[in-house]
Amino acid sequence: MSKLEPKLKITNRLHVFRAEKRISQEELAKAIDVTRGTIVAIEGGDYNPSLELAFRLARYLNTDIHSIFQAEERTDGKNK
Amino acid sequence: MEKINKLLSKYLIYAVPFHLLFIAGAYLGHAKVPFMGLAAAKVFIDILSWNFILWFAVIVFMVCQLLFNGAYRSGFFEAIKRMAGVKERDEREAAAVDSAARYAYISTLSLLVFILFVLSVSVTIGKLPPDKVVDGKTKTISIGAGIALWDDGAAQPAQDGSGVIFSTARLPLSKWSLIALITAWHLLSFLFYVRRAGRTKKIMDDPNKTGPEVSNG
Repeated sequence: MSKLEPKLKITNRLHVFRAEKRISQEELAKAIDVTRGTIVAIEGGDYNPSLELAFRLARYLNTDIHSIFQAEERTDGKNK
Repeated sequence: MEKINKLLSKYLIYAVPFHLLFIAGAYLGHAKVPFMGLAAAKVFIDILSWNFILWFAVIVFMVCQLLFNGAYRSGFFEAIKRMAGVKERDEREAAAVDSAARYAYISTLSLLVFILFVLSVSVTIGKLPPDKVVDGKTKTISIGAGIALWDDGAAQPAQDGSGVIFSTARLPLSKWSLIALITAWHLLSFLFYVRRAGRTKKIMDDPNKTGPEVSNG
């Protein structure tokens, strides 16, 4: 495995938190100052946010990072 | 100075449609379209051509600032980014631009190296005159390598003593030199910015540097 290949698989429950808060992707994007495309990409597992953005998300949703994002060992050797 | 740079950055972006008009005008003039012979059309094309020259002069000015004065970098970068259609509205788009830039850097470098190779190697297939045919073989192939640094056809003096002293249209550099120059610029500017960007990390990684105190409470 190369040094650049991710060794952990990051999953998230962002859509669950968003549903609990009853806010749209657009509203969440506006609130944390990103584009809706970024929210779509995070929820779809296509993009892992930076630590700073993860904190911003957690703060806005009144929770901690670990509740939204989980990391597990990668076993498939693939990126997704 | 910052205001002037902001104005120049805006000028760089908003002048682009006029260049398209200028190119279209130059094409129509070349094609001898009747209305292009009108005095008003000629004056208009003249103004557009001066605008074209001014635009490049501003680019050169901004590039000089970019090289020698880092303070004005952001404004110029913003203008170039807008012209290039680069969108970095948030970190995901910035990451996409990063990876696109990495691909563009490698692919452009590959293309430049390929062109350099093609310009350095000469392959000629020729036909032999009938008296030099050996064993019925009429064709010849020659392979060689050579580098021409200067363009021999540039600025030749005329027989009567008159001639062009300097003309930007006749750059004395050969095609090989130009491509080599662009390749070197491409590589060196990349290495320079990687070094600069990596400097911050080096300080962070310095084992002698005292890090911030971490409280467990």
